[in-house]
Amino acid sequence: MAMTLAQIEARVDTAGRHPGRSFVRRHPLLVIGGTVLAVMVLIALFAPWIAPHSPIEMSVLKRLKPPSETNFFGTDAMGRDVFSRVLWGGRVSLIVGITVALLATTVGVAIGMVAGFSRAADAVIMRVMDGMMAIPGILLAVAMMALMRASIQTVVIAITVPEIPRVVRLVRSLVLVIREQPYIQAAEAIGTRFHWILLRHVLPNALTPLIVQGTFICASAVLFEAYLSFLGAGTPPEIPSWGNMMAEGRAVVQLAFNIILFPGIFLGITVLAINLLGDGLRDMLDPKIARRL
Amino acid sequence: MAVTHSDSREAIVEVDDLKVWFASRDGIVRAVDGVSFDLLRGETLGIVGESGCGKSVTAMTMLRLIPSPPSVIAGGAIRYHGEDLLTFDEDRMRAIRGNEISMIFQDPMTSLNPVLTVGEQIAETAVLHQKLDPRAARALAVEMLQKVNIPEPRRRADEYPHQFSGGMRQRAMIAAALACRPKVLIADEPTTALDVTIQAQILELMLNLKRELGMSIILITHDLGVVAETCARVVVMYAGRKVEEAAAAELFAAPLHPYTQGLLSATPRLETAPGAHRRERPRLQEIPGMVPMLKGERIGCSFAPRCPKAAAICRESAPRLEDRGNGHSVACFNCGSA
Repeated sequence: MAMTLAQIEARVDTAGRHPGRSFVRRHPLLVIGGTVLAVMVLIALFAPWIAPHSPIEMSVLKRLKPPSETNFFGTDAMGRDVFSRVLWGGRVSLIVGITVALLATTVGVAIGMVAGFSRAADAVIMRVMDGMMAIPGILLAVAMMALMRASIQTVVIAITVPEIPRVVRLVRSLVLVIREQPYIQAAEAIGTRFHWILLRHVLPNALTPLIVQGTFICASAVLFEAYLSFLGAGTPPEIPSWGNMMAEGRAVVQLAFNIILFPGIFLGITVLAINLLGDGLRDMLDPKIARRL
Repeated sequence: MAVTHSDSREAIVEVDDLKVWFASRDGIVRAVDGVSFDLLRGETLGIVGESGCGKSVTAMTMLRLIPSPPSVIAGGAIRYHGEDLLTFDEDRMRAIRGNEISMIFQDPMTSLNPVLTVGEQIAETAVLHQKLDPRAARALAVEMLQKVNIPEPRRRADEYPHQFSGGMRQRAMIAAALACRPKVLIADEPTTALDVTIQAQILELMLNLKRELGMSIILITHDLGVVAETCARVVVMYAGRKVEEAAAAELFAAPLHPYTQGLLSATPRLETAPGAHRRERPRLQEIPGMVPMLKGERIGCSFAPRCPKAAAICRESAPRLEDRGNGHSVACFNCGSA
């Protein structure tokens, strides 16, 4: 049966706006990643109220107990409640992950933009960045821990420094491409100021890859903090973190697998959630991809 | 060197002996080498020539949009209302761009920022120069979209460039360029990337807006058909120099320079032989050879190697621009003297 023009128009209109397809169905990755990450953040934030036990209270009688009704994830070699420690440990991981991601991208964007726009600065900056990339991250962290007191700030700095050159390289290459685009010239042709061109025309066009890179940095920082703590070069032992919990559980892994298992699961889920969020954001922020989904 | 015109209207832009050179690895490239022309108030001036003859460089230099280095403005002046734009500092130049002199570019597909809505990009000019608040700027953007015949401008203003077709994007570019009602519009091959029916619409739109806003247009193109339809006067450029200038009608009726003659005979015409069969029509004539490299000092006429009329003198010294009356001037030894 032939449709009237009005019917066709109505149909085209609804197809264009996806009213039947909710945000969740259009951006499943974003929603799943975001929700899981939000839950993790809430758990970490409200750990003092959720946790049934103190994360640092030791008990000789309750050493290496398997999961039970009072200790959901069992207890560790010093009789501390693994469940409470996992909840508290999330604080360290998320603080480190988010701080490192923000710090590395902010510093990296600033340096990368200068390198992308000034040929003279480019030569100097990129050689310094090459030098920084040659420093192994673990070595830098261990050296810093040896020189300074072990603290979360030191961990953040130790993880941020090796990430900066990666962001700088990314931003520089993006800027080199974007600044040659005709719309940048068109913006100049209507009299836009240089810093305004950077902020309004160059940066937004570089944002999508930057966000993806930012979430990637966040995820790898969470992992890196765990490595460092595992090696004993990270978060000081009096603060529970997923990394140092697994490090302590390593010695008794054959007796009590749960001590390593539960922080590991939380670590894995968090990193996965951040990565899903990054992919979801990329799809949503690119208007072309967003329409196709 | 200003050419005398029968027209007594005042010149709004005077380009005087402009020289723009580029420093390249193997020497200086003289992209624009002593070009002069006037743009009169309310006039449409065509600049034609092959690719690489310096048309775009001339246009970009008028807005000082060519990065330096590698470019060097080796001489000349560009006077806008009697003031030399080449002496302006960056701040004064910014106040000119988009506000007094605007430019639209060849490729509408890439000349709009993909992450900003079309409305935002049109409003940007007004925010910059007229210090409009966002609300008023948006209203202006919608009004401009309406002016360039975009249907449903209110909704379209919130759309992104990829939701626009090529012709619509060029309309949006025109809307952005004209948002501040500039006195001069430089259109650098505005229709080259569009198909023919859209070309005609865009040209008509530009001419209507020209009349409505009382501006002057410099139309840069290699399409002589476009020139014939739109321009009052034409400057023909070859290898960085102006070789001929005349009123459009006169140029098409009696081209003097062999290069202009070559360009015209290389353009297919439907009216060549009415009723004639295909095989009776004359074959299209091409100009042999290519635009020369513009490196180093050139001796003689740049067109001499491709010129059917070239004589010994053409290879020895460069012809000067001579006035042949009626505002028609030409740089050639072999076109008969005045």
